[in-house]
Amino acid sequence: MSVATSEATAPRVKFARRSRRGVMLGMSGLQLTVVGVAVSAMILGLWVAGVVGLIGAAPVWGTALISLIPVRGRSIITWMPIVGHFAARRATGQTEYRRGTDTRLEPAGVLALPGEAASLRVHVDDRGTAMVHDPHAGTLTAILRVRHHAFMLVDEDVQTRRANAWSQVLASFCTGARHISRVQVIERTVPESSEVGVSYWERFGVRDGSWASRSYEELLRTARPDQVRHETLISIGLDLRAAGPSSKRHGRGLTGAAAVLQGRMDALVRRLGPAEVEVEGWLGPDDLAVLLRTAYDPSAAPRLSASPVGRDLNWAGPLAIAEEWDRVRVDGSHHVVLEVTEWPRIAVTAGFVWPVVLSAGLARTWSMTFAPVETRKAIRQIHGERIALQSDRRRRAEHDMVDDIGLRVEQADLEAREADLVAGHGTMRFAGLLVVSAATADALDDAVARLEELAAQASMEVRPLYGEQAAGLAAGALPLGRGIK
Amino acid sequence: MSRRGGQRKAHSASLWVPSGESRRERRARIKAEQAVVEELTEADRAAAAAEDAERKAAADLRRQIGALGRPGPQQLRGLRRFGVRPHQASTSVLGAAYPFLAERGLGATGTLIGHDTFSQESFYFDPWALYGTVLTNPNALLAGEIGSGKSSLAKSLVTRSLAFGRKAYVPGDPKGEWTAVTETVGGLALKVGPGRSTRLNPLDEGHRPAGVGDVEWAAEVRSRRLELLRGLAETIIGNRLGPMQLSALNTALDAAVRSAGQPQLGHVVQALLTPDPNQPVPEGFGSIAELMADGRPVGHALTQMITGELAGIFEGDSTTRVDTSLPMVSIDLSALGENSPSLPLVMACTGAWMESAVRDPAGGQRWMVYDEGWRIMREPSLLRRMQSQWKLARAWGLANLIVVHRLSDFDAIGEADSEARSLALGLIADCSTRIIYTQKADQLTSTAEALGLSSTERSTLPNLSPATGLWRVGQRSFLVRHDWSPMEAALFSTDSRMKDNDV
Repeated sequence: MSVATSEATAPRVKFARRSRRGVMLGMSGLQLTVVGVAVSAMILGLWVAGVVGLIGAAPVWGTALISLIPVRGRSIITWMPIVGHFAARRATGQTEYRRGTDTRLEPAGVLALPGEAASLRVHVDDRGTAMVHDPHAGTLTAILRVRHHAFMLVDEDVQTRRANAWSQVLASFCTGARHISRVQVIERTVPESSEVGVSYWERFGVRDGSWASRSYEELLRTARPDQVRHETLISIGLDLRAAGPSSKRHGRGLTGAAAVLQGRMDALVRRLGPAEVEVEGWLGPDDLAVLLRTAYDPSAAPRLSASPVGRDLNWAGPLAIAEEWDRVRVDGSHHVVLEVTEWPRIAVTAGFVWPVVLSAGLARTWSMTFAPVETRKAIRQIHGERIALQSDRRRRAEHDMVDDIGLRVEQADLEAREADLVAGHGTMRFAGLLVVSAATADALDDAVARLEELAAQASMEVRPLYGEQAAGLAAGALPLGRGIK
Repeated sequence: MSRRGGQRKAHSASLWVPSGESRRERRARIKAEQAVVEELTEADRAAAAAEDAERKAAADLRRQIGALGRPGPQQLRGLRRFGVRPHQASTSVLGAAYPFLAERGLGATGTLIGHDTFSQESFYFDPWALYGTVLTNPNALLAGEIGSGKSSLAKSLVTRSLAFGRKAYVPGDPKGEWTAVTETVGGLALKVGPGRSTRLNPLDEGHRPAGVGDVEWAAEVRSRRLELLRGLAETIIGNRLGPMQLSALNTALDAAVRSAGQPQLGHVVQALLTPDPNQPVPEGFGSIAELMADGRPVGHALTQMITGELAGIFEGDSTTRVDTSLPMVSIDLSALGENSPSLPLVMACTGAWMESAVRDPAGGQRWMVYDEGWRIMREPSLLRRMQSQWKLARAWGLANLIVVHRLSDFDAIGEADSEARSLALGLIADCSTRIIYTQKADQLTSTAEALGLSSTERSTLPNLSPATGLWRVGQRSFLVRHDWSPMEAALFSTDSRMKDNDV
């Protein structure tokens, strides 16, 4: 399948790189420390015992210099915390999870989730919406299920219009009293059984053994087994501390905060209209239970959709998890969590993520988490970065070094961002996560390879979250706005 | 209420105190005031208690389960909090990462057709179920080049509907490719042509629905017959009939009905060419001789239907009737040869004959499949007749499926802005569902605009994979790959008679 796009008319955008700029001389603080250690070891060795001392101190400054070598995009020294953390957890047995069966001591309303998400509890408001309360981070999150129509087959100006409307929705979170601290959009495919078609056939079909009915039954049987169903969720997370004063007006404690969140929920529903996204409804406790179960174990989705059991929030979490360096296994599924390390740096049109989102026959979750940044702070930050950039360029000019094109591009990006801010757009910190799921380890390897290719087709670079797979799964598969620093 | 030191305290006072108040009344008033104060204070205390309990519960929870995880072994507890380093961008750029791309689908109501090539979800379709919500009428148009797979789709659509208790009628099958399908599903395939014994009277009354009075029924039948006769005459003559010729035709039909209860084409021709000299001179004509002169061209035109190569097909009474209890009835015209110039006339007659038999509002949901529809579309008079039938079909639960080869077939009909072209475009407008298989790039002309295709959709048409079609269901668009069962594959591929398999 190919869809031709016209070259000239559609507006294109491109993303800036994650800033590589450091403290001094283009090196980060950690790298500077390591270089400082190496240099001081060399000087000490020389000073104490001359050249012999220098060679004697070789282990110190040798290791220090080796640690600056980049491996898979990061220097060894930046890998150390991750490797160390994983090794420590492995040693203490914290890379495994087993659900305790003793529920007597559970505080009321707690979702039975593993790891950092263990303290999450649910609060049901007067409209029946299930809001997830994180007592440590102080957030209250509500989840909305949406539905939408074909994007790939409409005219380009319609596509651009929808993308602009979505920009407006995001920008609305950056203006005014920014009580919403996290917005997350999840687009996932869950495996679906052919139950739906079969049940329709059983209700309305004329099953009289005629050729037509036998052929239709054969069709239902031989229909492709790898059917998937798409589901799109948008979640907004209220910052309880920032919303404190206005929530007291509506009521005490979480009730007041829920009222403030309801106001924001209604505003979001209103704004989604122009983006041609239809609202299906806010998730209640039953839907949330199904969501949590299928997020951790997509292979359970066909079973859950077929029957009304399995909607208990107390048992909605996974039963067992085994985490490894580059994958994680939960109940009946294997997952790999990938992080988008580079967004498209070439100019792309609206909907450029289609190779990943419309990937054929894979069970995967595409998640984007946004955190609004206050405009004034963003402008200040941009000014700071521009000053640093300019001084960098001046230093290079003074020392007659060739002007780094990368720096020039970065400066242009900063100016474009500032122009956007002045024009009324907002700034957001954001991260993209891609969770690939499969029933067996081999199928998982194939799926990961395919998705890496598809991401490259979408001009993005994805890398597995080595050493942090289980925590990444909670951030990428659950629409709870977690996982951004 | 007043606020003192962070706590609220309620007070109450009466707004109006009667002057001659007795002591008892005064005591009752004061008690009422105090009751109000107590109620408010109680509510406040309860809310404060609830908030305190909740805060305590949250504090307990925070103590019991730390920020890094539950205490104990095997709890996936870490030593530091997890977070990816975020990127930063303006929202104008972030809008391009528009994630709402997958089409949600029409829902699982209907027969399974195949799957959406973008979202990979199963695609179901049923014009009767969707009529009223997504579709404004249950008719469908299917266009596709030879070899693109449109024949298989048409047969699939029809046979899968049969499995849900619908019926199907194919009033004119020039290539005879529906015969095998009809017989396999247990229906009747009538074979019509020179040398064959089946005879159809296109002027048959047809099925009379319950509750229609005699006068209304006679008028309806008359107008139907006139439409057909006029269409046939105009097509054979090649020109529209003048008003006097039309009057002569009307008179001849009435005379034929009077003399023979069930008129046949032969009776009408006879009444035209040799009108009864004893009948009263009709309004507007000077004499019977004038009537004969005006009726002569029409009579000679209609004679072609019962002489020459079409002799014996439409003469006499029908030797069979449409058995509406069968799941499928088709009329096989392959004996006439595909290139016969009288095929459109034959298809119009068989079409009219079959339509009259299924005009039953209580007949249930039925498909009427007009295969090779372009043959009729090239003749504006026949197209006019077919269209007026379509407008009534909705009330009888009929869904018309018209199958054409190329979209440019519509453009070949008359000049732009001519009546013929507007008739053809009207036919497209009457089809709420449009299914388009591969079209060559040079076929994408004004018809694509008439179909309401966006420029992106138009650009997909030359590159469609086999058995994949662009479906426009109402205002929604899908790219659907047609899946079939082994039984269907066996049946649909063996009945192809063309050398390059029209799959």
